[in-house]
Amino acid sequence: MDAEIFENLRLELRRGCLILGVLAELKAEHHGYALRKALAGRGLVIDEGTLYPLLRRLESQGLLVSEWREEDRRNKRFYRLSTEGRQTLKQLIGEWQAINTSLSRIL
Amino acid sequence: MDLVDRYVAAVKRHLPATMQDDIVNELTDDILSQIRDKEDALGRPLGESEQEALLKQYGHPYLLARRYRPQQSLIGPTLFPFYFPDLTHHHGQGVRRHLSVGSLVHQVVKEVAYDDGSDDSSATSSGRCRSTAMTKDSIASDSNDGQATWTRLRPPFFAV
Repeated sequence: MDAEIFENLRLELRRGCLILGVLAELKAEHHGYALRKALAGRGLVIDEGTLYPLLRRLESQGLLVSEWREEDRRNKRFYRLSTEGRQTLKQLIGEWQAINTSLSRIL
Repeated sequence: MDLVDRYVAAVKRHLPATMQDDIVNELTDDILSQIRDKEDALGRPLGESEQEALLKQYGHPYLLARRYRPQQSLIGPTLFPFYFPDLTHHHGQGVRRHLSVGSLVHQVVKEVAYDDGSDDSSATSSGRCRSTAMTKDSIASDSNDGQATWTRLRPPFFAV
């Protein structure tokens, strides 16, 4: 039971961080699989069942734009930050740094 | 029809019609890219059981599809505290009995639908480990119901 409580807390903590990581990585254009690999390469492992619904949501919120294009003879959907997404990312980074500073004083 | 096609078709059945093609094309590309990466690393094509193990990491088709849907409920968490006492106030004992019968039925359905996995020798340990470690990210934002047990769900899709 304790493990389950911890797991939920961990996921709650992680959720916002994932969004920040995804938005930041999409300053450059990526298709989903490449994005997943790029994030994993930096130590942020995110599974496809989380990533793709998240990308759809961020796009519907106007933070990302996407287009289908062919690469390696396969159709892939490429995502990148929209203008609005860039502004939001900047604000979120500010927020993240403020939280980080406060917490490092507390922890 | 190969395993990947069957898996993707199973996911597609549970998606809203308007987004089916879009999601399925993207998912197919993700799966095929991953298979290709593994094949490149191994220097040989993946066997059927290896493909199966890989697909199992994507999870049950229904659960995967569900993550694309917005969370839906008839009475949301904001209204529920007002709804529930109001309901029992007006209809008293009957409603309470009704609700407890409802939860009993729910429990039985859960027991039947969610296998305990003890006799499921085909489930790979890597699949399970990954499920608990990572795929719960967005499930946790859904209702907590069955969250603890879904990773052990037997995928009927793989039944031969």
